[in-house]
Amino acid sequence: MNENLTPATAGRSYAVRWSLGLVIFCGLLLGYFIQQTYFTPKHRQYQLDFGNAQWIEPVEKGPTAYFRTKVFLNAEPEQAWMEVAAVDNFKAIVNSHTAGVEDSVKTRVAGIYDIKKRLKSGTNVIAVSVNRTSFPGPAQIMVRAYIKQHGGKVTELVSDAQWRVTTEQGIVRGSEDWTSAAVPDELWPLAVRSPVNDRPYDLSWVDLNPMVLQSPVTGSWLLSGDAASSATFSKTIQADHSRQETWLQIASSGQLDLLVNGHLLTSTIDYGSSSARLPHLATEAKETSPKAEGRQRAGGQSAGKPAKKGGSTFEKATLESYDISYWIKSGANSITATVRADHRPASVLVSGFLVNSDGSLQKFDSNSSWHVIDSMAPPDTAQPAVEFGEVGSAPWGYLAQELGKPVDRAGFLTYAGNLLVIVLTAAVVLALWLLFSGLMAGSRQELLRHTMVRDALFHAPIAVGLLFLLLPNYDIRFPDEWSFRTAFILAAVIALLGIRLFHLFPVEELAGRARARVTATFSDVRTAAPYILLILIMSLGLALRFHNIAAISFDHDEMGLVTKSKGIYSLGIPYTTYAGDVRWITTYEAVPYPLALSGLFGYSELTMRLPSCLMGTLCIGLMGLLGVRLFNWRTGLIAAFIYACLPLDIRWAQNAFYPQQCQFMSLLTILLFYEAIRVRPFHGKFFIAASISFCITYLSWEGSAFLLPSLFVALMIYRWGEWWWLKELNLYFGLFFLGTVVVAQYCSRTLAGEPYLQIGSGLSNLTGPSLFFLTSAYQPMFYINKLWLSENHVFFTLLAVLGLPVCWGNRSYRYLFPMLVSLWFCHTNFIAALAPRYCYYYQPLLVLSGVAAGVMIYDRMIALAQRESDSAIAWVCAHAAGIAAILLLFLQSNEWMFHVYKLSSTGDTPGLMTRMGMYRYDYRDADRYVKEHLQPGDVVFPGIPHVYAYYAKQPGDYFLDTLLGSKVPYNQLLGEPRFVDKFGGLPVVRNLTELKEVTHRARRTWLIFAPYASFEKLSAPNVLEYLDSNARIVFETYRAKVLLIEGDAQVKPAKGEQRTAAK
Amino acid sequence: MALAEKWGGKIERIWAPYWLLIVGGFLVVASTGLKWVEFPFSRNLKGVQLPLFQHIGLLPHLSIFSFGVLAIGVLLVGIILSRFSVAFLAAAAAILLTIFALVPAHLAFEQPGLLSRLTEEDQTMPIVNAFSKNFLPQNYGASEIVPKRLQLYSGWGRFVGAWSFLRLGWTCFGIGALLVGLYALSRLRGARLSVALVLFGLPFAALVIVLAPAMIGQYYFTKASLAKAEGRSLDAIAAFRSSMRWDGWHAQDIDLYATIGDLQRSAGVEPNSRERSISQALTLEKAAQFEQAVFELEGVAQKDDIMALTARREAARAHTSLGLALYQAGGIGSAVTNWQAALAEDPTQVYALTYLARGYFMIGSYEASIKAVDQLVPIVRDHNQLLANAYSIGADSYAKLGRDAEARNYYNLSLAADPLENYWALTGLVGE
Repeated sequence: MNENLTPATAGRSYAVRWSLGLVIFCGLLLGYFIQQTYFTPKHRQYQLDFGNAQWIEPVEKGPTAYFRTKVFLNAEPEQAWMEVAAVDNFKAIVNSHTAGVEDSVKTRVAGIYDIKKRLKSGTNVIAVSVNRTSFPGPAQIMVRAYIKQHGGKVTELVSDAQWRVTTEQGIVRGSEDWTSAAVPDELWPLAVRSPVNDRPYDLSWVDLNPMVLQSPVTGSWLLSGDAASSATFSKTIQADHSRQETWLQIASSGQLDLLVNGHLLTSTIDYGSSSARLPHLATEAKETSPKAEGRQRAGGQSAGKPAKKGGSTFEKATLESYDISYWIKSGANSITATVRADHRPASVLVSGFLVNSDGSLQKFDSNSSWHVIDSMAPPDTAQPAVEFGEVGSAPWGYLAQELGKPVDRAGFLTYAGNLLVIVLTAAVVLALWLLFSGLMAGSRQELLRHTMVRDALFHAPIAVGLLFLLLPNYDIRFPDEWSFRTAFILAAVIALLGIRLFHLFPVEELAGRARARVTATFSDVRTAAPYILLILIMSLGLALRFHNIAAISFDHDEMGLVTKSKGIYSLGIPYTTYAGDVRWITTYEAVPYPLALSGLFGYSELTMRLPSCLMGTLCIGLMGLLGVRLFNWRTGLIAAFIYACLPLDIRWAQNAFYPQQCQFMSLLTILLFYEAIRVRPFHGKFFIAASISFCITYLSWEGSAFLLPSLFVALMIYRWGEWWWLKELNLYFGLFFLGTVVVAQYCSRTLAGEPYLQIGSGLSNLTGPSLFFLTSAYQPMFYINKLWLSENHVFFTLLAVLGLPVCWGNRSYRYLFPMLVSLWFCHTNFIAALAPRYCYYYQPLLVLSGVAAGVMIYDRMIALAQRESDSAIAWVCAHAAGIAAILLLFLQSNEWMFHVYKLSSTGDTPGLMTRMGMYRYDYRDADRYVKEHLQPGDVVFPGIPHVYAYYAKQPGDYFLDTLLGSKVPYNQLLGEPRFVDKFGGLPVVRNLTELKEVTHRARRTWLIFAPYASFEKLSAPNVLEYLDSNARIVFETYRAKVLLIEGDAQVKPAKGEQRTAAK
Repeated sequence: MALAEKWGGKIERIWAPYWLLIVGGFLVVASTGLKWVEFPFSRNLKGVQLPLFQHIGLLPHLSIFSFGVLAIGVLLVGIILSRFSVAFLAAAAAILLTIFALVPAHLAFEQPGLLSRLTEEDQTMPIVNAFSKNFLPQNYGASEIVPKRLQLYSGWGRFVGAWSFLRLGWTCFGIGALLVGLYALSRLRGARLSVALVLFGLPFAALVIVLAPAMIGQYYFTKASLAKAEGRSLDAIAAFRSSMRWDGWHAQDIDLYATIGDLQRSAGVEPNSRERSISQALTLEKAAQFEQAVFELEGVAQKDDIMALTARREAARAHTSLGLALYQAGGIGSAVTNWQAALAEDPTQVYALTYLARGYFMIGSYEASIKAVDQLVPIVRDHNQLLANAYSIGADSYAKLGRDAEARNYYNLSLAADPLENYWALTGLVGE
C-alpha cells in the first residue's frame, strides 16, 4: 500500500477499484453474449417430432434390451429416414448395418438418420439396442420411420406393442446375429407400451434439421455446356432477412468447393492428411462385443458410416447438408460451386430450402436456371447449366444424405475480432457507468465516488442474471446455444439502462429502517439458529444418503474390504486366508473396522454401507464447522447445504469402499490442524488430535499422505513471515509419530507380500510417491478435468479462482486454498496412478473455497453499499446479486433443477459417481442368475470370485485371467501347484487350451462377464473368439453379462425353459 | 534451540524478501532440464535441447544455442545486474517471457519441419499401434496424452497445434519467468506501470513480429482458396505460390503442391510441371498404387530444392505404406525391402524401424531384428509402451537364437519399461 495514503483514502480507492471490477465483469459478460449471438455461426438444434410413435419396453423390465421389427419393401427406397429415441443410449441398426449411435447417461437421447442406403427390396430388419447405465427403470425406445419406395409407395413405421424385444441376445440360437432377417420373430416376446407415454418427458436435441431428411430431395444433376471436367456453377437465391435459416444439400462428381456469398464452406485441399493415404490397418481398440467382432472378422462389414473412399468413383457421391444461415443476407445471395473431376464431366446436384418466419419452407434446387461461369470470360457471358438427370438417376441413384460440417477457418483475426467485440462492449458499459455516475452526482449534489459505487452495484444483479442464463446451455434438455438470443441481450441492455432510474429514488431512510429491521430479526435468532440449521441440513443429508443405499450391488472394491473385515472378529485384524496362511490387509487398514462394527448387525449392502453413510453425514457437519471456524456461520451453513446435496458426495456415502472414510478423516485432520495452529504457541491437544486423525486418514488410504506436505504449505502461508513455529516441539513429535506410522505401514505391506510369488498387473505395483511428471504417462490435466472442471464443480472453481484477489487478504482463505492447490499439485505430479476417486478426499475444500469466495464477495458488495452509497436500492441490489450468486452455486451443484452435464471440461462424459442413479456393476443379479440356474456338473467362471461367493453363497470353480490383467499368486500347496485367484483361491485359467480343457469336461460352463468392458479388454483375443463362437449370452444387466457354454453332455433344457429362465 | 532460532532467522531473512525470485529462478533453471516438446514417437526435447536456429537431429542433444541455455544466461545476467538496478532484472524477466511466448510460434512458423515431424508422428502412432496389435497381445500400458485433432491449414490452427505439443518444462518456465517478473515489479520504486507494460508488451510485440509473415501467408492462402472456389485457377496458383513464399509450412506441404498440379490441369497450363506429377502421385497413393506413386515422386525429387525435399519425404512415406500393405498381404520380404528404402530415403521415418524389427523377425533374420531394435531403443526411450514393445521384439529374436540370457534380459527391460499389463514380456519371462 502506498504509504502516503491514509486508511480512509485507501478505503476510498479500494471502493472505486471494486466498483470498476464489477462494471468490467458485467461488461465482459454482456460482450460475451453479444459476441456469441451475433459474431459466431449459430449451432442450431432441433427437437424431433415422433408423431404417433410410443415408448416401448420389454416385459422383463431389464436395463438392457434388443428391439426389432421387420418391414417388407417391393423396391429400393428413394427416401427413407428414421427417428430414434432411447434412455441413456442406443444403437440403431438397419439390416445389420449401424445407422446411428447416441449416448448420454440419464438423458432421453434422440437422433434422426437417413437409412435409404441401408434398406433393400425384400425383408428388412430395423433393430435398436439399448444398454442402460442409469437406474431405476427399464430400457425404453421410441422409433418413427418413413420409407418412400421407388414408384411412390409410402411405408410409415412407429414403435408400438407389435415390436419384438428381448433382454438378452442368447435368445437367438446358432450363429445368426440378433439383427438378422433369418431370426424368426416368433421366438421373441412382444414389447409393451411404457407408462412414460402418459407423462411429460424431455428429449435431447439433434443437430440436423429434420426437414432435410423429411422433405423430398429435388433438383437435377447439372453439367456445363461442353461437359468439361472442371466447371463453376452459380445461382442466386432470395432471402427475406439476414441470417434466415437456410439449409443446402450438395453432391458432386469430383472435388467440390462451395461458396456462399463469398464464404468458403469446404476444405481447400482435398488430399487430406498423409495418414489418410495410408493403407487401412485394424484400428485402435474399440469397445465391441465379441459377437460384433466375430461378425466383422467373418463378413468384413464395418460399422458406422459407409466407406466413402474406394470402389467405383460413381459410388462416392453423397448429399452433404450444410446450415448456411450465418452467411445469408437479406435479398440476393450467391451460391457458387466449383467441381473438378479427374476423367469425367464435372457435375453437381443441389437441393435446399429457406425457412420462412411462419415455419414454411421456400425450396430451391439445381436446375437449368443455374449458370456455368467461365472465369476467363466476362461476367455477363455466363452460360446456362445443362440438366442431365433427375435425382435418383444413373449412375449414382438415390444418394445417401449426411450432415456436413463447414470447415472452421477461424484464424488470428477471427479471435482478435471476437476479443474486440467483448472488450468494446465492456468499454461501452464502462463509459455508460462513468457518464451516468457523473450526471447523477452532479444532479444530486453528492460525491462522485458514492454515485459510482452505487451505480456499479446496479450492475451486480445483471451480471449474475447473465450467469444464470448461461446455465441452460449446459443442460442437456436445452439447445447448446439457448441463451444467446437477441431478447436476452435487449433485456440486459434495458436493465442496465433502466436500473439507473433507481438513482432517483430518495430512499435512504427506508434503507436504514430495512437494515435495522433485518439486523434485529437476525440478532434474535443468531445464537441458536445456526446450530438448528446445521442439524437440519445434516438430517437432510442423511436422508439423501440413506435413500436407496442398498439399491445397487456391491462392487468388487467394496467386497474386498467387506471380506477382510470378517477377519476382525477372529484375530482382531482384517485379513483373508490364502494357501492356509493369514494374509493381513496391506492397504485401507482402518476401513474394515467400522465395517466389522456394522457387521454385528448382519452383513448386507445396508449394514456395510451404513458407516459410509454416517461418515458422509458427519462430513456435512464438519463442513459446517470448518466454514464457521475459518470464516463465519453463513459460509459454513451454505457449504454444508451444498455439500449435503452434491451428487458425488451422496454417491460415495452410499459406498462401502474407503473414499468416504478417508474424506471424513482428512476433513477432521484439516479442522484440528487449523485449531492447533491458529494460536501462538500451537495448541498442543489439538495438535495431538490432528496427528492421530492424520494417521487414521493415512491408514484409510495411503495416498492421503500428501495431506502432510499440504498442511505444511498451508501452515507456511497462514503464518507467512513468521518462523517461530519452527521451534514448536509439538511439530517434531507429531512428525516423528506420523513417520513411524508410515514406515510401519510400508513394512507391513512388504512383509505381507514377501512370501508370495505373484504375476500379473495391479495397483499394488505402486509402492509410493514418485517423480511421475518425468514419465511418459504424466497427465497434468487429469485432476483439472476430474476435479476443478468436473460438471458440478466448475462454478466453485470459477469463484475460488476469480475471488482470489478479493479473498487473499483473508487469512483463513490463505489456509484453505493453498492446501487445496497443494494437494492437487502433489496428486498430479507425484503419484503414478490416476483415478477420479483419488481427489475425493480433498474435494470438500473446493466446495468450501468456492462458497467462501462467494460469501466474501457478497459481503464486500454489502459493505460497499453501506459505506459508500448508503442507498437502499444499492443495498437491495447487492443482496439480490449475492443471494442469486449463492443460489446459482447451489443450483449448478446438483440435479434438482439443472442437469448441467455439459458443463464439464470434457463434455457430457460422466464419471461413475458424478451423477445420481448411475449403476456401477450389477454383480448381484448376474451371480444370482447363475446360482438359480446351476445344475450338477456345471462349472462357473465368476468375474470377481469373492463377489460371486457372497451373492451365490458358494464359491466359483475357475478364474479366467488370460492376459494376466489381474495379479495372481502361485499356490505351491495345492495337489497340482498352480496360479490361483488371490481372493477366492480359485485355479487360474490362463489360456485357450486350459479354457477348452475345462469347458470340454464340464456339462455346462457359466462365465460371468463383469465388469463387462474390462473383461473384454483383459482377455486374450483367441479366448474371446472362442467364446464368441461357442457361448451364448443368457443374461444381461448393468455392465455385466452371463455367458453359457453348453457341452454335449449337458442336460437339455425342456422346451420353453430357456425363455422362462430369461424372464 | 538457539541454533534452530539462528537458522530460522537466517532462512526468514533470505526467504521472506526473495521468495518470488528464488521460486521463479528455480523454476526457470529446473524447467530447462524438463520436457518442453513431446514427440509422440521419438525422443522428447528438453529446454536445453530445443535449438534456436538449427534443426534437431533424430536424437536430441544439448545445444549451446538453445532456448534453455539462453534462458539461464538471461536470468543469470539479470540477477547479477540487478545489484545495480532492479530494472535489469525486469528486463531479463521480459526477455524470459518473450522466450516463453515465442516457443510455440517458433515451432509453428520458424521450424515448419519440426512441426511437420511432430504432426506426422502423431498421425502415425495409431498405425504403429495397430501394426503392433497384428502380432502381439495387447500391451495396454499407461496411456500418453497426444493431440487428437490438429487443424493445420490455418496459422492459428498451427499455433494451437504447436502449443499442444508443449509440456511441463515450458509451463514451468513460463511460471518461473512470471514470478521473476513479479519480483522485479515489486522491487521497483515508481514507474511500475511502464515496466509492467514492457514486461508484457515485449513478448506480445515479438509474437506479432514472428506471426506477421505467417499471417501474410495466410492471407494469400485464403485468397487462393477463394480464387480456386470461384474457378479462377491461374489466380489461385499465383496466390498459393505467394503463400508458400511467406510461410515455410506451405512450402513443405505436399498436398498444396498437388492442389497446384490439379489447378494447372484444370487451367490447361504447364502440362509437364512437377506439381502435376505430385498430384498424379497422390492420386495413385489414394488408389493404393504405391509403386507408381513412388516412381512419380522420385522424378520430382531429382532436383535440389524444397519441392524435391518434400517429394522425397512423401516417397519415403509411400515406401512405408507400401511395406505395410505388403506385410498385410503376407509379402514380408518385399515389405522389409520397402521399409529399408523408406529409411534410406528419409531417416526421419523412424517408425519404420518398428516395422523393420518385426519384419526381420518374421523372415528369420533375427540378428538384423536385434540390430533394428537396438537402433530403435534410443529413439523411443521416452515412451514406455513403445520401448517395452521394442525390447519384447528383441527378446523374441534372442529367444529364437537360443540366447536365453539376453532374451531374459530384454524381457526384463521390457517389463521394467512398462510393468502395466505387459502380457508379452510377462509371459516371455514366465516361459509360456
